[in-house]
Amino acid sequence: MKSPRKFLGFISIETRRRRRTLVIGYYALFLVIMVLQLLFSGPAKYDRLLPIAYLAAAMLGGLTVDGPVRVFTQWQRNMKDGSAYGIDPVRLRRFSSIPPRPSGSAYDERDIATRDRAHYLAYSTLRWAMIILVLGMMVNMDWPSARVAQILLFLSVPFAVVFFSLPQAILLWCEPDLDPDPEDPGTQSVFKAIP
Amino acid sequence: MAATEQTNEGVIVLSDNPKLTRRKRRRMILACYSAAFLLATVAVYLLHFRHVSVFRLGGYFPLLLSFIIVLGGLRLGGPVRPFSRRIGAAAANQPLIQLRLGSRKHPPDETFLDERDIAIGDHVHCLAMSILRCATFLFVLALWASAVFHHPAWLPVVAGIGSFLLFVAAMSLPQGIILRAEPDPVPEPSAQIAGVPQ
Repeated sequence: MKSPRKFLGFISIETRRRRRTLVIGYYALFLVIMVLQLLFSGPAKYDRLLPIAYLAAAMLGGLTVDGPVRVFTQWQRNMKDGSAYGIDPVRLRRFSSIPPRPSGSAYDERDIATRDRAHYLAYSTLRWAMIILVLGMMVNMDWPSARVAQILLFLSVPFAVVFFSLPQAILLWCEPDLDPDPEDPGTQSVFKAIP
Repeated sequence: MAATEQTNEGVIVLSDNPKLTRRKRRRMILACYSAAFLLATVAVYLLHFRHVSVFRLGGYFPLLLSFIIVLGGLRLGGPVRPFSRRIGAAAANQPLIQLRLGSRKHPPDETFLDERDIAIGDHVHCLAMSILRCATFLFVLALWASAVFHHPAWLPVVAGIGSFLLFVAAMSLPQGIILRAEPDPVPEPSAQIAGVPQ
């Protein structure tokens, strides 16, 4: 489920530890931005965070063409390589610095199952978040509408971030490290030790 | 839909109810979402013309929950079988009413859903997530526009109605997709072999 193994083009995420650090750092960054925004600008300009949240939520990939997680759908991949516009992807690659994609880049059954499972887990989590949100609204029904609307506006930023990035975060978090290829038997030391 | 194309042999994810044909299922879905839309329209009317807050309409949510539960998926008994194996295990091992004060966990019932059912359930959730993502984008965009363009009167309306419809979608969209797309089971061929009298 991954094509470029770098986040933002320069942060390597080859190992599982680095990928998990990226996921934690990603959500921590949003938390810090929200707190700083509230501290220094106040709730009046909080809505400015929403476009930033959308732009940044797509950085993990999945929904965008370049990211640590491959795009989820075939039509997005077709748009990426130009075939959706009738452009030959091989010809397009001649003018691009991006290396040609491997022949097996289409999703196989395992990729689809992994992607769907991540979405199932994300959906189940978000369903509980929605239930808690609605229950909270029911409990606080004596509040004025404008105040509840302000709270919803406040919650919309973390909600948008999680909604647009949770499946990708689950994929990055759970993806195991690849075992290194076995060495060539001719170069192994056990053969060199034999006189 | 790729997931439902795999289910031509019969109704896999749905519970065994031969009377629930595809046409009836689609009508059921249409009725549920029409009811939700109607409720949202009434909420807008009450909010604008009667000045009754959407958030004070507490009766809406039990009503919403009732028709969401009717679809199944999250519990036993609906037309869509539960998506989780643990629910099936709990139903198989527990009496109907029991006080569960402890945190007893049920092992997954391997016979409740096979791999194909799980694959269909996961794929349906992937589709539902894509739809819900677009809906969330529009909702947050509307909230943002209300806030930025200084229409505070619209902010409670957008927030109330949007969260109302998002809640409906989040609770019922995977079940709705299955109910709408699942084909009718193909009748089994009769046991009579050509030339051999029964």
